Amino acid sequence: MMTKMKKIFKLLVCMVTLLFSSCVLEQPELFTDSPAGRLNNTIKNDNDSLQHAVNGWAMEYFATTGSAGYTLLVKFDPSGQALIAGKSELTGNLLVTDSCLYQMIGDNGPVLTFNSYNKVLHAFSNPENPDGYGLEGDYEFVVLKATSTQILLKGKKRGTMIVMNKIPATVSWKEYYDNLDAMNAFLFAGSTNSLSLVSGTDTLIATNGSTHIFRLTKPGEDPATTGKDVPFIVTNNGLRFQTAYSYNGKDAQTFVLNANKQSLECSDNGLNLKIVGQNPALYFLSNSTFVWNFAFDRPMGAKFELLYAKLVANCQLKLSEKFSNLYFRYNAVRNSYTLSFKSGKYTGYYDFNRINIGSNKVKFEYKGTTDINGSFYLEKIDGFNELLQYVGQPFIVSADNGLNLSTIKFTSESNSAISFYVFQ
Amino acid sequence: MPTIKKVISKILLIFLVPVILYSCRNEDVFTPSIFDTTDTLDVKTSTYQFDLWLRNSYLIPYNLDFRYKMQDVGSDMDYNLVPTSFVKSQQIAKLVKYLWFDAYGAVAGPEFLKENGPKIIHLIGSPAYNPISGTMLLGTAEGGIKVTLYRCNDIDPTNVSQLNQFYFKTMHHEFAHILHQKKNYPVEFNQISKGLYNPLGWQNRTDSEAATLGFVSPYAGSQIREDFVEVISNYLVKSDEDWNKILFLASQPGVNSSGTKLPDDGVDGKAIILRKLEMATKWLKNSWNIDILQLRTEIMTRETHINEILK
Repeated sequence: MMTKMKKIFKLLVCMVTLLFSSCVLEQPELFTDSPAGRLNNTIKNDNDSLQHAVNGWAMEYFATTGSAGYTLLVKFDPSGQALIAGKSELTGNLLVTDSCLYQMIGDNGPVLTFNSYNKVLHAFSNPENPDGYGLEGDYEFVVLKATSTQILLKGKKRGTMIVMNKIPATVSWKEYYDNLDAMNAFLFAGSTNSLSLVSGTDTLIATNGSTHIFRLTKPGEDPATTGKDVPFIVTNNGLRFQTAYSYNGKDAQTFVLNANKQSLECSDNGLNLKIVGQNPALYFLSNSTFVWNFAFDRPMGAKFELLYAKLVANCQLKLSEKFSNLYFRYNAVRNSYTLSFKSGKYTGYYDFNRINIGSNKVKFEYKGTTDINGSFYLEKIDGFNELLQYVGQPFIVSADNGLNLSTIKFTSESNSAISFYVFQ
Repeated sequence: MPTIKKVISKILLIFLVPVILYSCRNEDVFTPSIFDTTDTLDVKTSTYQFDLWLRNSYLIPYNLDFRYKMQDVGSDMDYNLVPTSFVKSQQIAKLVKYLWFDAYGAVAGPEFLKENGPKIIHLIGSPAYNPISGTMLLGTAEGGIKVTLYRCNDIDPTNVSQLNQFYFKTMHHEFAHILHQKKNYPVEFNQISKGLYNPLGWQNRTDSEAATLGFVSPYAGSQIREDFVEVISNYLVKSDEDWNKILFLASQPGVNSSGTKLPDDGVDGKAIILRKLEMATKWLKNSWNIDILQLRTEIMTRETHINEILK
């Protein structure tokens, strides 16, 4: 019993000694300031960075991880006001500017909050349409990194990564949006063609580009039922995926329009990825229901230009009609692909075959059949015979913009003076 | 044996007592306000004038923090919400002061709201939607301390009817919650409409159906405590015409959302509502020394001067 008591006594003495020793040897300070002090310093520095950009920041905003990106321009005033501009379907596609209050707070670390309503920014957060949800965008952001030219944010609720790039002092906000609009129009306006994400021999088909959420599928797969959605934002020099797309273990995110405007290229992490358009000839042949109107306001080959002038003049002279349109389309009634025209209130059709002759070439072949109007104009108006001869031959099909095939060019294989543009 | 026990006891005494004493050494002293009332406002901020007004109108006299800059962490994170615009915040702050605080002050005395009013008012720009039930939250009162007002971006100061329907009814509703959390309403009230409450389906009742059952609004039919505060808030903000309309509906057969007249349920809705009002009136008088009729008249009178205070 006595031995047991001694043991307990020794144990107690040891414990007390340990308690003391644990308080004696303090770890050296790892930081020169307290956690609160360090957070306050970070907040102050981040605040300085925000206000440092005299012309503001271009915020690449994504409401949720599944949403398309929108560019918002934001300027931070030292008085606590933020001026925010945006142009999207939420603003009726008009450039709208509104001011609100902002604050750097110590919440989840340094957090940038826009804590009074701004009709541009908070339109992404307003819980309406549908009620209770809306687009579910964040308006509070954890500041992950701040430099003098770029600030990296993370949405507090949705966790989307949002980049803010400093806007050069020499560029007005209107110019900035004009450039974005031009890039967006260049890539997607009127476009129905798919794109391809290509690396070496690997290809993925990218559809739905105009929604700013690519659906990536393997060739041959149906994008309606399979594939991966990749939201992106249009930038001034191309586009950027919301999150990096992993390719062979390397991240691809930023794509830049190349000099000849035929592809978007990504060189992130040493990659050589390209987004390219379809072969223009195959695209033209792929769908007979598209209406391809002749673009008379675009440059035409010299001989075709003269022919067009002749058609306009003769319709006016002989029939007092305005020759207003020329277009390719499939005609279900005639069960044939046709070259159609419109003069005054009359429309006529000439039946053609479209033949794929390879190497980006298409041959139009007049079948010799037409409707009654086509026959009348062919017989009475000088120029229509010539038109059928000019069109009825092999053409090289090309696109000034290899990514957006809403406008393509036909150039006679044998005579470059016979060329014209058509658009959807 | 006893020696060892003594040694152990001494060791414990020597080391534990100072620890216990130390932990009690630095006692905090309570201050008059839980908020910082020192003049720390930054004159360079764009909100300085408004912040100064809030400080002088709410913080100092009422020890109340009027939070117009939305605090996400201070809101219900289950909802998707947005802040209130700065312009609307200023309008609401002035209206709340004039139609709520000053109205109570005129009737119940200046100290009443200092002692019983909320300590935080938090403005939220959007409603708090409940998509599943198809309802929206317009206000909450938490623990008698904090009142949250929703849908503040939709306020139209020129539309008194809208102000009452969506904002001031909510404020009086939430404040009545605060008051009954401090002094409970009569237990007899629990018995009046027992069995008629529908916590999950109240929103499916029309005004008419609710009134015939003896509720001043469909929401009053959700729970007893909501019923009690709805009687007070509706009576305070509704004009005679609108209040009488409720009583009229209550005396008629109910009409459902399809427009179908319901069979007589044998319940005299009008008598029930008047009985509830009588109970609430007595409770306000006996528990809080507030004359509800006088308060109602004060609020109605003030409503005719809204334009002046927003200038």
